[in-house]
Amino acid sequence: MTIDEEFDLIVIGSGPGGQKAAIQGASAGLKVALIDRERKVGGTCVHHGTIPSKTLREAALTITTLRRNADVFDFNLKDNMKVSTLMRRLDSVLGSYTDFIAEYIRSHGISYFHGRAAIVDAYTISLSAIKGTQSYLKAKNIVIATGSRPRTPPDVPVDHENILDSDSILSMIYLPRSLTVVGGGVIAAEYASIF
Amino acid sequence: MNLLGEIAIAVSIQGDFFKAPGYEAQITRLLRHALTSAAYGKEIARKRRRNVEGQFLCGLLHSVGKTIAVQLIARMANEKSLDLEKQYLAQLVGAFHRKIAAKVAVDWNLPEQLQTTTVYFKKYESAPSFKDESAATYLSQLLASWVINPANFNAVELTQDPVFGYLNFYPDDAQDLLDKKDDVKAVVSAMEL
Repeated sequence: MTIDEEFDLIVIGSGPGGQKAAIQGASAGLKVALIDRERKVGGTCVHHGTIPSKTLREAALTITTLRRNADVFDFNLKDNMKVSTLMRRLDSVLGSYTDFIAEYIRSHGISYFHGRAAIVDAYTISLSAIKGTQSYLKAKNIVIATGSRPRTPPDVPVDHENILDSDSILSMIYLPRSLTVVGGGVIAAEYASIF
Repeated sequence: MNLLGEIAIAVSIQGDFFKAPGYEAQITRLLRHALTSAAYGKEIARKRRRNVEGQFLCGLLHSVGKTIAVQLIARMANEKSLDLEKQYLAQLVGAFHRKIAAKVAVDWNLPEQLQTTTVYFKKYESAPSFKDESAATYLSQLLASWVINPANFNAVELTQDPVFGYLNFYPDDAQDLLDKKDDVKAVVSAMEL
């Protein structure tokens, strides 16, 4: 095993937690590497969670307000309402946000790596790039900021077709006629209120 | 959803939705490729944790311009009593299918995602929106071509296509997708085109 590069701090995950850890490290004068398995920085928060769901929530709130004033505006939601209509500006919002984060990371002198990280030992990370090449990074400190993904219980067939999770629900083409939300946490409550 | 549902059912179950007397073989070949792309689109969407319905429709309709072009050319050829050679038919289809696809997507009031992917799937990076969906559509039709004509492809070279990296598929993800080949074939067979 040949070490390809050494750092003071390696942060795994470029979501809000990872970004802040990396920037704090860089601001303290450390040589920092930031690793993410996804093509773009930002993590679930930007690409599958907070920002897309809040875009949809804002549209739902606007529709609710219009409905409350339906007698004034003669307002009806169209049949076959498309989800993309409600999230129209999402692409440009996400593009601006990821560009901003990437630039912010660059401006702090943080080295960004796109690949899957695996911990080899207390100071070594193996990095598998998208093309399959392997490299090794070493650091005195490692921060794991990988966040979470929706759990798929073995007895619930999440097929992203009829049974969706909080990732795939955001890529539906049409609003569903009916929807059952299983769970009572923050994300479940948010989607129940939106739809 | 009604129109899209009808398209999907018509294309997959009724082989004569696109009537083109004398050109049935071309139509069947195009529809089989479209259906295989749709079935592979579902697998790609599942792998990406995206809703599969949208990607199914993107795959199903990605070549609708070609199918309609064959239908229109067949109608005109029959009206003029012309016997078009295969190569001329292919040239005419190649010349018009993109424009037809763009018009049909608007005329049929397809969702924005389908309007975009139908036109931009081959140049997904320059799509004005839905870039990832356009890339997934490109990949679904590429894998469909591999399923239908495996002799024309080398599986290892296939996974070197830049679209795998664009969609953030690592080598094991790409292999998982290739391993779905038999599932996809079973779906297409079940539709009995």
